[in-house]
Amino acid sequence: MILTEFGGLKISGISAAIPEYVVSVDSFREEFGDENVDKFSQMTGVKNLRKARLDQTAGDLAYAAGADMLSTTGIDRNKVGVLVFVTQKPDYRVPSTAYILHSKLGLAENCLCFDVNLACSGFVYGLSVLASLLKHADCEHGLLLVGDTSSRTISPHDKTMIMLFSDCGSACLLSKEESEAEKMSFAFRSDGTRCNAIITPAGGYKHLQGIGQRYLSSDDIPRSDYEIRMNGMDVFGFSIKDVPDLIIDFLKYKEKNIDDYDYMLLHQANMYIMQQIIRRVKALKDQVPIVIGDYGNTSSCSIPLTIATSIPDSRNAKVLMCGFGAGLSWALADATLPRGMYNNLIEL
Amino acid sequence: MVIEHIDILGIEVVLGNSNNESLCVSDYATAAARRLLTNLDIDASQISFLVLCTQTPDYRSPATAFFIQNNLGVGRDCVVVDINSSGTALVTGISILGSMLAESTGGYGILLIGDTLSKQMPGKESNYFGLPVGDGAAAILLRKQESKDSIITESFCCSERYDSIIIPRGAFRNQDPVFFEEDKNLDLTEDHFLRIDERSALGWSSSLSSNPDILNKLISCLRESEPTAVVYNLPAKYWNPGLLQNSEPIRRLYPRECYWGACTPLAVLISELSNSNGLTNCAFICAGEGLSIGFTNLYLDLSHCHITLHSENSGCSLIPGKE
Repeated sequence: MILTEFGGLKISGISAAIPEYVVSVDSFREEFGDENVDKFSQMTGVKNLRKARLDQTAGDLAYAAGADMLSTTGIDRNKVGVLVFVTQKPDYRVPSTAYILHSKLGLAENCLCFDVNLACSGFVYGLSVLASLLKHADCEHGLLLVGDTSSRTISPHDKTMIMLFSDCGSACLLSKEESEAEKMSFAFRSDGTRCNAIITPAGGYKHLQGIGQRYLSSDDIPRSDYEIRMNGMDVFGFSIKDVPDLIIDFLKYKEKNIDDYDYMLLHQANMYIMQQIIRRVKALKDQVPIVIGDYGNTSSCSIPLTIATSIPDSRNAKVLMCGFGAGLSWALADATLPRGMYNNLIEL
Repeated sequence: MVIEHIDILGIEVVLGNSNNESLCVSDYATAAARRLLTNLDIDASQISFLVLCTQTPDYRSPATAFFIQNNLGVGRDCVVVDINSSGTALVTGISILGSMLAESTGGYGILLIGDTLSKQMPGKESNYFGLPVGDGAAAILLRKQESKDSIITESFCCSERYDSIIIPRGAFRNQDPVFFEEDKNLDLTEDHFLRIDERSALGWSSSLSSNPDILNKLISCLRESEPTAVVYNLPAKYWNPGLLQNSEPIRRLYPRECYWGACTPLAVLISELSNSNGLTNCAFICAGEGLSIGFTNLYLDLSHCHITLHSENSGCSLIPGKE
C-alpha cells in the first residue's frame, strides 16, 4: 500500500448536483420481468436512478455543483490555484473539460487545470492529487470537481448495469489552514492485471471506430463496442476481498480501529457489496450511510453525494472514505469534515 | 509551485512514424518505460507512482495507465492515473507526480507523456503550428530523496479561448448517435479530428497581452532557475519576444522538423544535447490546448537521457537515435 499524508489542509465544502429526471427501477419490469427486477432491487438496494438529459454532460453537472459552492460560500475565485476534474465522460477529447469549467466558473489565469480519467475510485484519487498540488502551490484553495454520466455508455439490454448506474456531478473545496494538527491521509492500490474487468472497447484511440450495432457479448447481452462491459465475478471478488483488505491494512498501519471514525463512507457500488465490506472490517451499520436506494451507483460522485445527503454539519466528523472501481483501482482517505462545512445537494 | 527532494534519474523517448495505425500511446509509453528501467537497472516492482499524460488514450475506460502497469509488471502497491494533457503535459505531469511523490511513502515514480497525434490529425499534409506531426512517448523516472535542487513549476490558462484547439465531436458534448440510437455506426467527420484556430491560439501565447503578470512570472521563473538551456515545445516564431530574450547567454532549443505531441520538448532536448554529458539544469516553456502555458525546470544527468526510433518509414524527418 502507498500512503500519503498532509497537514494544514481542510475540506471546506462539498456540493453535489443530480439531474432532476428520476427513473424508477420499476420502469424496467416490462423489459426484464418482475422476478429479475425484484431480485436486482433486493440485491443492490436500488429503487430510483437519476438520468441526465441528452444535452447535459458530466461537466454541466459538476459545474452546477461548483458554481453553487463558490457562490454560496463567497470564496475568492482568484485564490483557487488548482482545478482538477475527474471524469470518464468528458465534454471533448481535446481540451480537458477542466478548462471549460475554469472558464465558466470565472477562475483566475494562474490556475493549473486538468482532467483525471478515473471511475469509482476517482473522488479519493482526485482529492489526493489536489491535496499534493495544493500543499506545494502558492494559493489558498483547490477545487475538485467530479462528474460522470455513466448512463451514456450502457446497453439498454444490460440489466446488471442499466438499473444500477446514475448520473451526478460534485464539487469539493480544499483549503489551506494554519494548523497542522489535523492530518489527511490516503492509501492506494491499483491492479492493471485486471484492466479488462470493466472496459469500454471502442471510442478511445485503439479502436476509434468500433461496431455500432449491438451484438451478443460473451454473457449473451447485446452491446455495441461503445458500451461498457463488466466482468461481474471479477469485480465482485475484488470488491469483497481486496477493498476490505486495504481498509484493514490501513487501520493496522495507522494503529487505529474502525470505531475511531464517525463514518465510513463507502463507494455506493451496490448494497450487497457494501454489506460484505461492512462485515469484513467490523464496522457498525450506523457508521456507513447508504444512499444507493434513492440515487443508484453514481460512480466517482457516490462519496461526495453521500456526504451531501447524509452527513450533518453540526459537529466535526472523522471519516474514512473508500472508493473502488475500474482499473482496477482502490483507495482510502482519512479526513475530518469540519463542523459548519458547506454541504449541499442541488437538482437541475 | 516549488517541489523539493525529488531527483530526475533519467529520460527515455521513443518516437514512431506517422500514420502507423497499429500503435497506440500505451505501446510507445511501455517501450519508453521498459528501456528507461533497464538502462537504470530499476525493477518495475519498485515503482510506486505511474502517471500517464496524454490526449490520445487507448480506451475511454479504464485509464490507459492500467494497461501500461500491466505491461511493465508494476505491482499493486502503486498509484496509477491518466491525466488528459498534451501541450503542457510535461509541466502538469511533473507538478502532479513530483508533489505526490514528495508527500508519500513511495520511492520511485514514473511519468509517461505521449500522444499518437497522427490519429487526431490524419493525412500527410497535417501540421501542428507549422510542423508535420509524429507519434511518440517519453518516460521520466523520479526518485524521492534529499536533494538540494528544487523543481519550479508554474501554470497559466486562458480558458475563454478553450475552443482554439479542439476536437468538436467524439466525446460527450454533441454526442454521436451511435450512443443513443439502435444500430448506428460512427461516421467520422472533420469534427472528429483536431481543429486549430492558430490566430486565436497565437493571439494569446505570442502577446500574452491579456495579463502581463503571466509574462513577468514566466520571465521571473527563468531567471530564478538559472538554466543552462531553455526548451520550447513550439517553433521560435510563435513565442512572445519577452520569453526569448534574456541578458544571460542561455541556449534556446525549439522543435524544427516534427511535432510529436506531449513528448516534444523532451525529444528536442535530447536530440540537441545528446552529445553533452553530465548534469545540466534545463528549463521548459510549453504551451498547448486549454489554452495553457507552463514552465518547469529539471536537473538532468544527460548521460541517462536517450531517444529511440521505432521505425524509419516516416514522411517526416526523425531525430537520429542513440541506439
